[in-house]
Amino acid sequence: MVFIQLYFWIAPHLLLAFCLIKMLRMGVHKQFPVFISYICFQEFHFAVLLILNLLILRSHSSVLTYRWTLVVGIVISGLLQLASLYEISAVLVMNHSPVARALWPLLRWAAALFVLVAATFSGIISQPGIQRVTDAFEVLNFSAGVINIGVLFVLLAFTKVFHLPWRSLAAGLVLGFGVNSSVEMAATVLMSTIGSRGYVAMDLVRMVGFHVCVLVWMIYTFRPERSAQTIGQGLHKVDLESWNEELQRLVE
Amino acid sequence: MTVVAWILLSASIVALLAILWMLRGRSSAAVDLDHLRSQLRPMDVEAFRNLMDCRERDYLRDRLPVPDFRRIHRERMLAAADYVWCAATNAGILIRLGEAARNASDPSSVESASALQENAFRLRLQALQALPRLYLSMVVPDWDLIPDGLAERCDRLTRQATILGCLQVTSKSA
Repeated sequence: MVFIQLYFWIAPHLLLAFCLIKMLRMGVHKQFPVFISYICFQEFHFAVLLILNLLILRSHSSVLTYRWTLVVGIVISGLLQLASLYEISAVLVMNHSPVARALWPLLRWAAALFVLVAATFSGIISQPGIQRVTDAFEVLNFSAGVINIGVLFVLLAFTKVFHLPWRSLAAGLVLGFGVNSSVEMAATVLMSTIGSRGYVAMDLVRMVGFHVCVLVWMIYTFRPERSAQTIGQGLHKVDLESWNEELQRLVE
Repeated sequence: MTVVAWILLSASIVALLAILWMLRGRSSAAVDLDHLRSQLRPMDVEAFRNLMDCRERDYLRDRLPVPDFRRIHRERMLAAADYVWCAATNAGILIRLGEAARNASDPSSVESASALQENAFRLRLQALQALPRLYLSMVVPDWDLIPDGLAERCDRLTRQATILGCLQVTSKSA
């Protein structure tokens, strides 16, 4: 059991490091700088927690310090995750100004709405019998999951309505976030129901969720980017110009 | 386990499935352009203009008993909503055709495709904004606050739909 726990704690971060190197080589940091910052922070946070864990084993640090470091890290990574989703949205609508004008207020409202939803349901997740720091950890995990899923859902629905194309990497990043956030949310709810005796099992579920998320990012990073295939003749240049002239005259 | 916990747990599973469903085949699916072109639907613009005409509505209101007027107005708005759906669908198809044309090697074609796509986005946005107003007008036929904005919006939609109708004819004759 200890081996499995160690594997699911360490392996995703090692894979994420490989993923980060590949992404930097591909120049992903130019397109998604906030997402790269998120990965860098994840790796830094993991390194700090690993060191703290070793220090605890040698009695040089306390469990409380470890837990507060964990909580502060969750706040920062939650914010970076949300910022990454905004960044992905910006890249998707970059070339389409009317869509961008409609998307930004919608995303802002969705974020505000899901902050309210998270705040409402956090009372259920909160457990009076456990330590304040653990309680804060559970509430923050749950809130971050709810807000991310809400924003993700609005973004996906919006792009579906407007037929916005997804580059494969952006789709992969979103899918990874979706898996991670929904597993976090489910694990926190289960944890609040089972209580502290389910902590180890739920922690393992969370780590498995993050592992799957990293694997998804790896697959989308390492496989070659495929452009959309087309069949048939489509539009001729003459069609395009004449149709567009008419549409331009009418929508302005 | 409480009911709320069950709801939250189910919501997280449903959210994950919904995300998977929405992302399914989005980035790599092949687009059949001829099939897309064939899906452009022609619109009877005169009929749509008639449905959106405020004078026509006032005429019916003056001549018909209230229950009859309400029923007929509801049917008229339903028909108008169908036309607006049609315009929105056509705009959606133009967005996808424009996207495909943006991959062309000729820079001027790419520029034209981008511009066409941009305008199709605007049309779809306007159509989707007009739809709830139409449905609301179906429930509240005497709501005088809506018709001004609605008429203006739908007039623009009508003109845009005319073009989309023409596009359909062009594509059939080509």
